[in-house]
Amino acid sequence: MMKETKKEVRYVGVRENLLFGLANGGQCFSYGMFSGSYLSLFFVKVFGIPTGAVATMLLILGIWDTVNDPIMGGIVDKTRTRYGKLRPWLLFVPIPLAISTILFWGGPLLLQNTRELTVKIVYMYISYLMWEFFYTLGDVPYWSLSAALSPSPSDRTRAIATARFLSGLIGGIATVVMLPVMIDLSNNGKIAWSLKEVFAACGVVSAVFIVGLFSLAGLFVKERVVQQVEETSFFDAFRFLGKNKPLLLIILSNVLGTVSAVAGVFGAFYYTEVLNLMSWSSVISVVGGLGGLVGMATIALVKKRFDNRQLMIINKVIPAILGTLAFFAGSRHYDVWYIVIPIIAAKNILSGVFDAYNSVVSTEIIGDTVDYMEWKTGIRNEGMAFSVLTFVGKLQGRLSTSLGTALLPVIGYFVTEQVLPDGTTETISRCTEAFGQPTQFWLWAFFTVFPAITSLLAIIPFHFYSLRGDKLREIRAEMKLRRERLAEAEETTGGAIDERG
Amino acid sequence: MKEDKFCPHCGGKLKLFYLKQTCPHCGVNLLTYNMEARLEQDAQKAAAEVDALWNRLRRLDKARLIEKHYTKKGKPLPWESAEEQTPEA
Repeated sequence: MMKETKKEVRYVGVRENLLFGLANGGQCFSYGMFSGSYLSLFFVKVFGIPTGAVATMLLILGIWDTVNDPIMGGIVDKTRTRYGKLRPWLLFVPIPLAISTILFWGGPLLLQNTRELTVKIVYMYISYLMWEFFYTLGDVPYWSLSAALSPSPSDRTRAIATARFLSGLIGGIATVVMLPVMIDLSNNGKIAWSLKEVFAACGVVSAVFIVGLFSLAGLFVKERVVQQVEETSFFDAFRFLGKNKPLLLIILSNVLGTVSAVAGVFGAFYYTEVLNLMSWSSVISVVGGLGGLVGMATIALVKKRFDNRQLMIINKVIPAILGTLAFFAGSRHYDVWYIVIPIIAAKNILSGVFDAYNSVVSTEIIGDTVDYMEWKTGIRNEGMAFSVLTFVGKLQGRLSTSLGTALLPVIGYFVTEQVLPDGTTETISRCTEAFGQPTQFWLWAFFTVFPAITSLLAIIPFHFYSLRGDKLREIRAEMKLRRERLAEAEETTGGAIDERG
Repeated sequence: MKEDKFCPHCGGKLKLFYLKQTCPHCGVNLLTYNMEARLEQDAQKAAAEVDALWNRLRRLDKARLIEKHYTKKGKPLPWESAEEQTPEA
């Protein structure tokens, strides 16, 4: 006879779950192009802007992000409409985001006859700021929706896992297949397009994905967690952030782990300058994606054995060990593709499993802190809490790209610009040496061991993280009761109910 | 979504760009009205979708691998548990 098992009620259906994930796929298709790997390459090599100016801009805009995301979080938390507080933003954002994406990547093509560096730099600042603004307007409500689409933790885990899986798959088309292959085809003269045209075309494709897929979240995903009717003041959101100790610990952990993201920047330069073929990154990512698939398939099992805090620690330690081993295994043959490619592939397959766990758990724990704050104060602040997640993700990208770009001349990598007879300009890159080692060696080290070791710093705050086990279960049970009471009360009165106290 | 077009209480038509939380016809809170019943409805719809998915997989699984796996583990078959699952009121 079969054993009876009590299953948690599922509110989010298969179709809605899939649409939520596909929306993230559309969003990540665009974001993938803005990740550290290509942004630096685009500005320096395609747009012809000096590394110093690029590094400064990325640093300044990275700092702007520290203000921008929480402001957006505060605005979202203040929003009260019949569609909810998150969906209106998701319905509005895709069109302006698509337009700003095309304008950004089309910049070098639009300004190809401009020799004035100042004009290029001003365009770079404006177009990037515009894209960044609309991206934030969509990103904060999207991830906040993962905590508001259902009161059930399993629904949330499923939605996040689906979103992460599909974003890896669809977003991967941009970063793993489309861009590297197009760059190689253009560099090797297989297609008649210059890199400027390649990036502009990819920008248009990216915009199509934004409109076609990212819109799905606003159109078809519901908000199901009952919110208090009264609006919180904008500054309340910041005040409550300070009271949320588990969230503050997560922020600290993410900030400490920021430096480790330089691997992305050096990865792009390593593949183009040392192995001389960007498409290797595609091969490696596809192979590494197998690890991600295993991770997504096994996360439910792993979560039965470990809680979120333990998983956050494991997800940092094992990839750090793998990165260190990869560095030593390839340190003498970093320029021999048939030795390093299998090493990087093996490392990426194994760390891909833990990256997949990390992508789900790191989002889920933010949802836990939202429940915790509601339990403690009566106010749900998804917007503010998830703005931290998006802010840290972007901060990691910008600071690491800025730091990585600034480090390029230090390790002996230089770029010069040459004016061609037809009046257009061409950038030429050159690897030399630094600290007694060739630049190629440093690109390898910064791609493997350096990020591995620095990522361990992110573990420290989790030593003090207490939102887990029985405490979390009690909070969830009490919140369920409170929400039921709140819904009943609003039904009978139809007016504003304050659930605090 | 269909439910965005009409008030769940009075059935009054709602304009696309009408954003306020209260119904312009009867004044009920459009977001929270009858929330428990709507959640229950969503749970039934989700269970039906899961059920349909498992049944589709069951038809594809000619070697009855899913059935063998669940029987071996002593767990209820997924299409059965989906059928039995009833939302908590």
